Amino acid sequence: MTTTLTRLDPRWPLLAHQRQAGTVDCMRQQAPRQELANVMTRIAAGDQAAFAHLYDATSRTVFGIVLSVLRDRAQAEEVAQEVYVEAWRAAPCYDANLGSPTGWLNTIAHRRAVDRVRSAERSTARDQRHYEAEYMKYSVDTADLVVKADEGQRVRQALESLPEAQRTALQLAYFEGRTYREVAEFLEVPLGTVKTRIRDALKRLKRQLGEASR
Amino acid sequence: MNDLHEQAYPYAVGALPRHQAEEFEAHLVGCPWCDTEVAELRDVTVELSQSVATPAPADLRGAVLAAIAQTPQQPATSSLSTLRGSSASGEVLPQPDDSAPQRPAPTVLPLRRSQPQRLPALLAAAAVLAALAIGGWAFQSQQKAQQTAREAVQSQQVAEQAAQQAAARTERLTELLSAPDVKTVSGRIVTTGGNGTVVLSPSQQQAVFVATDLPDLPAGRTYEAWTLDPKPVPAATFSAQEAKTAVTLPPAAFDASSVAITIEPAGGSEAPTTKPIFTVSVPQQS
Repeated sequence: MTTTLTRLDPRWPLLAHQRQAGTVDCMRQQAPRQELANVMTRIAAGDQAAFAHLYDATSRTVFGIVLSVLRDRAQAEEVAQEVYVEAWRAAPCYDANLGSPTGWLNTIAHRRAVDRVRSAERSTARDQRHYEAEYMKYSVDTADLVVKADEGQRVRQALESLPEAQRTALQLAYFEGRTYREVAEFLEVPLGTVKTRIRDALKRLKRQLGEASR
Repeated sequence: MNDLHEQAYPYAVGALPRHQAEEFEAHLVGCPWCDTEVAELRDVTVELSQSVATPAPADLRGAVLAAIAQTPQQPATSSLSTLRGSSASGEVLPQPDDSAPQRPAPTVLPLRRSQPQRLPALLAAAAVLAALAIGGWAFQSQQKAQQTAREAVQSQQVAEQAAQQAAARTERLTELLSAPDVKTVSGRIVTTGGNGTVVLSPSQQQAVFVATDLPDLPAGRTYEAWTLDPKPVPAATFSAQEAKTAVTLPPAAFDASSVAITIEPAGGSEAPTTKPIFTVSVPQQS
């Protein structure tokens, strides 16, 4: 079940999303990005079929991060829909100079999920979700495995190479949508420590992922 | 760690509470370093999200597509409002907030078809003029004309004609850019990362393509523009130099769904032989 951005016009050759690990080079990375950039232009002009392409290319990532933060499938589905509606409404304002379409969409998705969680939840429920998250790491779904190996392997390896403290801070902040103050309270460490761990984790990931793509 | 630049990291992972996030966004407007860092961190967080990618429920797709069919799109305003103004309530601010510090508008604004008013068109035209440095064009064209005169010492008439042509072309372009129904659409040129722009005015029946930093092609190659309806139709062949001073597009551009540029053998082709290096949708006529 691969997600392939199908051709937008029968005259242009199909640009399949290249997935071979270790064979990424600049031109291939550019092709899918350019496809999405073209898709965004069409969406901004009201093209609903183009929007369906965007959905197909991004729904697993959007749903994945929203589910990660919310932990509840029903809520995640609701919020994911809100994310795409917002993306549709705001598409005319999307400017490629500010970042990639996937980065733009991911920002909307993470923000919406976080807003939902912070407005609705009390901390005890959040702590409960953290333990569930830890537990879920050990539950294996083979279909998911195939999909995951396909897509996030490089970054998962990079995450696993982080020092434990940094990885946990990132897990709590990004994947579970806590503020850095909440992370500090949960871990019972000073605020500055949390900020340092998040910064160091991100810098390290940026370096590792940046190098891997060259 | 009170240094505002350091806020970029918790900001990038959404770990700042709302008031601090807004404070940081105000800082971002004036800080290119943070701006770049946040942009790069966005690429990292996309990958973080991909690490937990999960198939969405099967019925979500239909629900989303049904919802957007009922949802109007916002008119294009400052594009900063999308990323910066997505507030805690999740609502994207429809207009730039005047109280917050604003960065100058992006250099080229894609116009929406639903903007018949004159003022936005003029503002967009002004923005395009600024961005494309039409003053630079005019100077370049006239400078080129003057160079021709110097080289062809005895062809005074040729020199005068070239200058007149350059001036006439500049005048036509200025007219085009100040037409009340002028529409501009900008897109990235894949090979260079630079921008190309299509400018059209139905009332003036003029459409052009311009790009200021296309690379010169080797001998035996030319750039070719196509209008797509959706089948690609040859529109113009041109050199990198001609792209700087605007390539005229035929009237088919007005009815096309998009305009694309490819690299073809010298003399052009009847149908594209390579993938486009540039594509933009043509705004529909209102």
